[in-house]
Amino acid sequence: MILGTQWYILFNVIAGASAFPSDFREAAASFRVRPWRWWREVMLPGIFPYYVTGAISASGGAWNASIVSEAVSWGSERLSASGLGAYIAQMTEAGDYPRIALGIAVMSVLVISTNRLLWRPLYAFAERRTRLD
Amino acid sequence: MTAPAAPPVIDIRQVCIAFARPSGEPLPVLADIDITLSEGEILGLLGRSGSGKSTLLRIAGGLIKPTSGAVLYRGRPLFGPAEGIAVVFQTFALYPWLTVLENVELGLDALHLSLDEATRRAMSAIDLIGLDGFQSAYPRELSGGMRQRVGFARAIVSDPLLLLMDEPFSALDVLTAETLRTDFLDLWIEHQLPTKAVLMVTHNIEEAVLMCDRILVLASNPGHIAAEIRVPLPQPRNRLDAAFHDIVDEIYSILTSRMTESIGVQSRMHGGLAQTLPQVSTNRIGGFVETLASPAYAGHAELADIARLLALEINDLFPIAEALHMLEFGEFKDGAIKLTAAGRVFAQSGTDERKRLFREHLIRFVPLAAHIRHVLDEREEHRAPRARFEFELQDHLNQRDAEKTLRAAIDWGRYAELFSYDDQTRMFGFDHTE
Repeated sequence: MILGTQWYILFNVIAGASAFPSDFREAAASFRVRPWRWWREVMLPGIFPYYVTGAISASGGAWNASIVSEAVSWGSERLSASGLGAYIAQMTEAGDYPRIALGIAVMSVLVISTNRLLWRPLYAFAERRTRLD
Repeated sequence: MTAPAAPPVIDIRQVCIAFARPSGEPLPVLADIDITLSEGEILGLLGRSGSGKSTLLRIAGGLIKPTSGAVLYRGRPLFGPAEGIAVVFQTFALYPWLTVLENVELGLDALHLSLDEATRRAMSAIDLIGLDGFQSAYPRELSGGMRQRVGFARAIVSDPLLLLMDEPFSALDVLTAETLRTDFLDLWIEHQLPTKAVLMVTHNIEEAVLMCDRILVLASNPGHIAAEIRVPLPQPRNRLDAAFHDIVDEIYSILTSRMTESIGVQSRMHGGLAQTLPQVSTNRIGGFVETLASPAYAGHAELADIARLLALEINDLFPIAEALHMLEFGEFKDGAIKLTAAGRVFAQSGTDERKRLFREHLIRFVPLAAHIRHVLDEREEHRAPRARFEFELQDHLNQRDAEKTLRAAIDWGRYAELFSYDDQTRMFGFDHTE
């Protein structure tokens, strides 16, 4: 799951590194900024917004994969773990509509709250501190 | 016997640089450059964009390695960014996530100072450059002038011997630029800076004469030093002095005579198809001609005066001048321009008459435009692909110049209604109305 989704981060970070302004690179080179500081104060803040974008895509993808893989049926074989995905799948099979609704509501709350509590603040921070203008 | 003189701060010997073209063959950018910068000197590199002056500055800073030739910094070969050389960038190049103080401290990182010492030195540079009170601000909160002050503070904080400035004032408005120039000159004249020499890139002639002790005029294709002008005026200089004005005029006449010469040479080669056309919109040509024809000038003006009036730097002015010269709407002599008879008629005409006159001159004096029209006339369907002319131009010009020249020809040809061009099909043709 991690292997499958880290590509999002990797490609976004590569895009960020190639969009890094060349005069920022040149300034750091001409002042001979040392490696530790170069990473901490020059390069990492520059690619931070791209990292966040990649991380959002990656976490979405990972979560999606995990929920689907909680309940897998292959012919007559059934693999099932306990969790939200399995819960919704079982309730759908049983035709228990109120519980399906409950499962979907819980899922929505989880999505919205991670969005509000984690990604939005990170995005706002990236926008405020590391915007290039 | 005299004491051995200190080695020049920077000594650039026979430097050439060529970048690789996509096709693999090298594109020469600078050829056989020799520059010696001594202590106590401000040296200006003046040239239009594409003359390689910024590349040259980066070579002096160890940021770009020359393809051949040597760069000596205080008598020793320069292998990369070195202690004692600092750069001020045209775009300021301040990191938006660091405060003013942190940005300035970054200029000290290579010196391995203690935290307290770094902060103390950064604060004293901030004070010196007139930024006290702004140390905790982020760059985005500052005006352009204040941002460039941070750029200066970051450059001088390490007490560099050599300061390299890449068009440091060109991103600022006129008033702010002037304040920063005089502030910098005050520090320089009063020896408040430990800096021994300055190399400055500019495309502003008056700025060069105001600040530099010596000016090297760079010409393009490939970049080379076309002229050297000494500015023996004492600091602080007055832009209104006759002597100041004379030097500005001298530079304008060097630039115009080079311009007319190279246009003359190009137009005689390969039936004129080797001629690069300046990318100037017909609106700019119109505006310039109108200003020149106004009673204030009566069709004759010093380029220096008109450039000041219209606030044109050489990157704006010379393409217009080239266009006027090629189309024979203007004549140049000793840094002055005079409208030709056709130029005067053009200034006084309405749109249709202008277009007719422009078309006439385009056919007569711009071989490429006449050639495109001729090819279209010859063909039965009156259509010809762009690629045909691209290949033809590339026999004489490099790819970039060929591209630019064709674009200028299309723009002028469309205005003159000499031919039309469809970018979708990349075909030249005639308009259906004709």
